[in-house]
Amino acid sequence: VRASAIELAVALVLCGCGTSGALDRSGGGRTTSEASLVQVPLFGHRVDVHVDGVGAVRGELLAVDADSIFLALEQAQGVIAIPRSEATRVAISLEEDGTGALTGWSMAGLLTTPSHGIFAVFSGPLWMLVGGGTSAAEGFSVWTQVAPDGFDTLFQFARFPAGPPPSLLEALYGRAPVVVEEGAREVPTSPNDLPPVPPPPR
Amino acid sequence: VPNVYLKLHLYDGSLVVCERWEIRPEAREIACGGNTFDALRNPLGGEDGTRPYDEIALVELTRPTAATDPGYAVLGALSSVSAIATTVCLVTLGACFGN
Repeated sequence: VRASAIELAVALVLCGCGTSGALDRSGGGRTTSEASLVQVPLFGHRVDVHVDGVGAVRGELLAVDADSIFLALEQAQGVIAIPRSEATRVAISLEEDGTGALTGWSMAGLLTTPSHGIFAVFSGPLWMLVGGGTSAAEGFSVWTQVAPDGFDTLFQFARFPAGPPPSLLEALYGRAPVVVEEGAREVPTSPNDLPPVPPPPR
Repeated sequence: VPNVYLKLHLYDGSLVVCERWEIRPEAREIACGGNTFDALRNPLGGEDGTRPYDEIALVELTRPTAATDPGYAVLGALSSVSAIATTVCLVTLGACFGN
């Protein structure tokens, strides 16, 4: 069954229909050029997960499962699992955000306008308009918003698109996940439901 | 296919990026030449061997692209015009700064 699943996955990706039609990784219509092996992305995309009463939690998207969105926090060390039911929306950076660089460039250009003498009355506002416009356009084109009904499509932007690996769950919950035997009558739904960790072998 | 790579996401979270590959359904394995990374994406070295289906959680085909932001082109053009204006003003001081 697994072999068939892998073959099916390859076939789906080859035909270009393996991901959501509404949200994909093709970016914002920019000019692109082909990249080499070392430029194959290894990490998840940068996201802001918006949570009611908390605000935006920013980090690298690690994984998504049926219950949680897993992030590597940007401001602090560590990983976090945000329940999907708590998230109101997710903003994804489809590409590297160049807003800061463009803003800095615009400010530098604005500072050179006194060298235009009396014509600085034209070049100064021009730098502000063009610089502000390009920075705003960058932010608009790079970030895309995903509503809760689209959370199932987030996996394609994650570092672990197949779901959280054991090492991630262990980092979060302090122990390896329990493998539920086929036919088990009850499935643990939270870390508190897990059986105690056995003592290490002597 | 040039510039197309196969990514093998393994169950333990590690990743194999294949520059060349061959899928062998009969042997239930994928032969791969490329690079391997652990779950933290630290490089583990080159990969030149086979991975059984049982190790693979997900197969991803990717064609990475490097985006060219049009904003940089716009600011580059404006910078060029601004530099020319600065040069003209420095050469003909009277035209820009009065006599």
